[in-house]
Amino acid sequence: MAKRLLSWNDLKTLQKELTKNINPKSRWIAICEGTGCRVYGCLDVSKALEQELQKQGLNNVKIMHTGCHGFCERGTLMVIHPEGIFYSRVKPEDVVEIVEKTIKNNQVIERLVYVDPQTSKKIPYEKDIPFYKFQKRMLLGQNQKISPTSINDYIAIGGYQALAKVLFEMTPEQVISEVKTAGLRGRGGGGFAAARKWESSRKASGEPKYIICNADEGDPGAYMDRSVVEGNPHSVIEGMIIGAYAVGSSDGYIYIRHEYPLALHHITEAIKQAHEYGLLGENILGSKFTFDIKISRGGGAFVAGESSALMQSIEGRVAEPRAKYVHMAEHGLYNKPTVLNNVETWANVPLIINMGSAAYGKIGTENSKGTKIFSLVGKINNTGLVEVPMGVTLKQIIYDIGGGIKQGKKFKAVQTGGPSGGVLPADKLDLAVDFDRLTEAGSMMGSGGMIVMDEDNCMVDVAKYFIGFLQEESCGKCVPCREGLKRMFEILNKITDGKGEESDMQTLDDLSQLLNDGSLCGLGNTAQNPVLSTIKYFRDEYEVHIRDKKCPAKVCKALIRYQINKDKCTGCYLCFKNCPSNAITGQIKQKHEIHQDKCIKCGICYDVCKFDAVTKE
Amino acid sequence: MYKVKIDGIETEVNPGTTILSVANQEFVEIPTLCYNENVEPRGACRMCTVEVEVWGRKRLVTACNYPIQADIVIDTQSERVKKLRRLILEVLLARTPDSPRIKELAEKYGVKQPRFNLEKTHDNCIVCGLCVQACKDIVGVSAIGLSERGIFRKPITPYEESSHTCIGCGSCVYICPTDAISMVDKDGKRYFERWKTEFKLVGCESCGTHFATDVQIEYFKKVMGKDDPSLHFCPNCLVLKETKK
Ligand SMILES: Cc1cc2nc3c(=O)[nH]c(=O)nc-3n(C[C@H](O)[C@H](O)[C@H](O)COP(=O)(O)O)c2cc1C
Ligand code: SF4
Repeated sequence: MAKRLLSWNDLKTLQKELTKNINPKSRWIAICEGTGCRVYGCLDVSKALEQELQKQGLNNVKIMHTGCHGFCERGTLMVIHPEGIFYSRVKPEDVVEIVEKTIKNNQVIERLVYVDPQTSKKIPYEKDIPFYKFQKRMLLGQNQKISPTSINDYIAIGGYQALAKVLFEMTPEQVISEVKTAGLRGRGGGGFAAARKWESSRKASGEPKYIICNADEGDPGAYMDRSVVEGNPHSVIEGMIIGAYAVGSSDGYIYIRHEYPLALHHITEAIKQAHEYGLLGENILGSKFTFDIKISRGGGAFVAGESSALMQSIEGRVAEPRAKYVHMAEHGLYNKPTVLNNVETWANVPLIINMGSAAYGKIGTENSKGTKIFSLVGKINNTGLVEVPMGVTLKQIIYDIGGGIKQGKKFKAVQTGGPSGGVLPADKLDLAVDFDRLTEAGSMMGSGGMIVMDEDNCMVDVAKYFIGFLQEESCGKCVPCREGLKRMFEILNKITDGKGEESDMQTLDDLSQLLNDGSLCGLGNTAQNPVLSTIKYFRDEYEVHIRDKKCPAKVCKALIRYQINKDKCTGCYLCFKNCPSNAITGQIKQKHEIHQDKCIKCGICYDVCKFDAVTKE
Repeated sequence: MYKVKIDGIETEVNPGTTILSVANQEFVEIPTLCYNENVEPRGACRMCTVEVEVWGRKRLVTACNYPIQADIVIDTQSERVKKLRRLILEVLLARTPDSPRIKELAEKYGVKQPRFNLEKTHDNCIVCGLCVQACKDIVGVSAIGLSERGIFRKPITPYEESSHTCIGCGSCVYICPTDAISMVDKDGKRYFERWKTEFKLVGCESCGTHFATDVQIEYFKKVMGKDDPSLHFCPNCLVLKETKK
């Protein structure tokens, strides 16, 4: 059992103790053990590495089993310090060579070095890799330096110093004012000023007051919050304790998605460790302040992340949104004053206290401060989690960090803000990414999803995908969202089936208004964005679907035809053999033919033909 | 007290008064479907949406559950409100084309033929949730609940089997705004098709009219903690007996 820290001095002494033997020139290896890399088998790599180091008697080489580094598609990731040599796609069988060559003889293994997909250049050091070089990893950077299950690692890099400073040098009002000056806005979607919520809750009457961390993260494909909770759980806990002190709360909850077993495990462990050190519980660090955190597990519905639904769920009721005409800050959980913030919002709080609001306020744009983590996916060379200062352009994210579009194709659009975000076209690439600019352009920051699309994406199909998702995730309580989304989905289906009519455009517009004006909660209120933004920037694409019954991107099955170009067909039989619906006829070495009445447009013939004889139009 | 101006009529109200109650006081008509004064407003149907201006900011809110917390100007007839009403009724009419109540409202607010495929399920339920609320909060048995989500959301009995806790009182039937729950009394029995339940009816000891189910009477005995004359006679005969006394 760890010794309780009874003062700021105890914490400082512990930090000194933990760092005194660290030599900046000593060798250590960071292995990413986030959920992403686990899929690639990083735990086997770790085990192999441990065994090999032991076998070779290299007991002074430390392995740091860290959380997510962000470059997930290239897992398993390994960074060898002090040089910062970056190896990706490492397999257990590479370990012997790594130890022999790199660890013992300082040689770089070419084979494991990252190759820039744009320049084909080999880049051995992490700091030079564009994916990392152009980021500003204030939060995610910490993931690479600590083991998430070790509170000592966190304390060694300065963890809980912000909390101590707050407890012993600042009044709650000063904390709120500091966060206000820093300009911290909520990272969970709305971008609401954090300090304003804290202030109203502090002033509201009613005891106890609650602090909640929203770790429900329901956006498909998003895992920013998971990576923070999983890779650096203490940063979230520290932020929450500081918030609790500012608000005057003694009770906290972390509402976490049940599909996040590793994050749940790490946060549970972290809370336990913080308890043992006296950083949670009664008289934190020997002060008069008392605060504790409970874990509440979400059922997994997307709508459960909505603030009022989330609170109902913690109370043990069905996660169903309700009217918020009275603010949660005054009447929230159990009808008591409650502050709800997102994982990333909380993790920013210790940074603000440590850096000071003035320095923090220098990062970002006028009304959006700090950094934001995005989950960058789609038709892009480098996918993963990226953290950038607010105000960088979409172009910088997509081209400098993301390495541009795959296979040299043309950029068409980027979808930001999660399922109810919007799509932005090429002429918005210079847009500075912050809360307000994205909203003005018809999209939104949301929780930070970013899906890049190329010329092969059909915008009507994209809108249909998101409306389909929202339709399924709507809780069904209120009429506009439940019925409106159903009808919107029907119309989009009709258009992609080639049955669209001119009047459908007006109907889509009306349904958008129904959703936006009529819905009860944020899900319905913003659900029109995928449709409105694609109409705004790609109206012609809708019109071609409706008028000409054609899909310009050749995605919508009902509107395309596969045919065999007789001049190119060699009669190789390959398409014939692979067609699942027997739609192709022809003898070997004779021209083949596709029978449209039988063709199910699966595209297999198109993919298998080696002579480009199958055409799609 | 806050100053209220509703469709041009000026008045003052206590903090927390809802817009709907001010409207009722001032004889301003706001259409509602899922509102019932006996249960807490859920704000699910959104029919009662009105436009308000508070602190110089305009927004749409639902009249049934919006508590007045500052001076306010309320417009129940703005273009935005009227269009929203029509759109709500259009999607509802497509869902329940047979419902007399929805048809009547649609006609009143100028909705003719919905632009969408009409549902052919002949189910008039609009999933407002009043039946579930009545069963839980008025009767106190929670025999039904809302299940699933999105377009599949609907009131059901547990596992969609015949409910063991339903007492057959029919409160759900009385409160339903679209008459979507059928209750048939026939040959001394009461049937609820939607809940798959069947009850024996009990006759008034005076006139013989069936007035309650046997389970209902047992339930009330338990709740009241005693047997009571009201559990033996129909409401009519009860009143007669009272006046005779
Ligand atoms: C349908 C819906 C889902 C949401 N899901 C999440 C979520 O998964 N995580 C989150 O932090 N916020 C989510 N939000 C936003 C929350 O309601 C709330 O605004 C946020 O947690 C507040 O924290 P912040 O101010 O720090 O962003 C969701 C909102 C809606 C309408
Ligand atoms: S807007 Fe959609 S998710 Fe929100 S309460 Fe209404 S039906 Fe439920």
